[in-house]
Amino acid sequence: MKNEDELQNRIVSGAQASNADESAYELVFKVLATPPKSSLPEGFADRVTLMATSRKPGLLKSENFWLISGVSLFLLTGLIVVVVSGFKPSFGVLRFLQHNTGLFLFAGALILSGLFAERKLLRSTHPTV
Amino acid sequence: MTDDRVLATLVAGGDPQAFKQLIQRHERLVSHMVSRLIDNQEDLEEICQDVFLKVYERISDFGFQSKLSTWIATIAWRHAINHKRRQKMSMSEFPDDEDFNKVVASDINVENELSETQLESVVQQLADQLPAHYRGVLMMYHVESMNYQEIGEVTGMPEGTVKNYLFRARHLLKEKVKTYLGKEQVL
Repeated sequence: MKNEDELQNRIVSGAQASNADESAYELVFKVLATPPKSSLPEGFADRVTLMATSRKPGLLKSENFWLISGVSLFLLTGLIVVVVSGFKPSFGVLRFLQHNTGLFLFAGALILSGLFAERKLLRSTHPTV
Repeated sequence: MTDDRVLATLVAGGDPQAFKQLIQRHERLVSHMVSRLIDNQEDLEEICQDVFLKVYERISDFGFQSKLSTWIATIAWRHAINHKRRQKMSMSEFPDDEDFNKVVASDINVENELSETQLESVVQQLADQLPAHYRGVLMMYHVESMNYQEIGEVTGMPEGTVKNYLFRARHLLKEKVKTYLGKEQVL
């Protein structure tokens, strides 16, 4: 195999073929250096440029800053209100559910099986979904 | 001709003319990269379009750790690979000699002596039978003149694997050509 490696290197470096192996390599290298016959249609650059520049840009860094600040301020205000008003959370009407563990498990299993079916059946037949 | 850095800065600033220039400068590279993995012309156009849209979206994050062309080639390679994965096509296994023999047996008429051009076409057919990863690596090295390191960056393969892919593919093709030339001489 080392010999083969040397043969390949000789042809890569542009040496003239002097035996059957080298002639075969010469032909292989010549073909491999041929560009693929693929081309994009005329106006491709214009079309893609138009698509890219007409797309709605994502959020800028400054916009992200204001978004995060706003959400943080909202949460902080909520926390202050809870502390100042002495609000105590209560399950209230949801208390009756504490005796229905089976119902919770059933609901969980139903949601998981729905997600599984969607992933396995729908996405496998419609990969773009 | 605008320098790559200047061009990238202009594109990041939203200059449409600069982006058009970037596409024109790299569309050949991208179409070569994608066409080595994807045969369908419609898919090829769509993937190339997605590649450039991704370039436009991400160019402000590009820090010139590599050449602009290498970075664009990486995006093209990943898009094409992901497309193939979605099609659930096998890309990893190396075809055995039997597969090559089938091509030689079915597509080549050995009763007539071939001209050099026909012989080149035969070798091209054999090369097209290689798995996608091998075709990609061969194209990057022989057509785009990328070095091992650049091919490694694009494909995510270690340099040793790149060298091995190149060596194995060329060796296998050479053996097939030799076998074929031998057949021709006997006839």
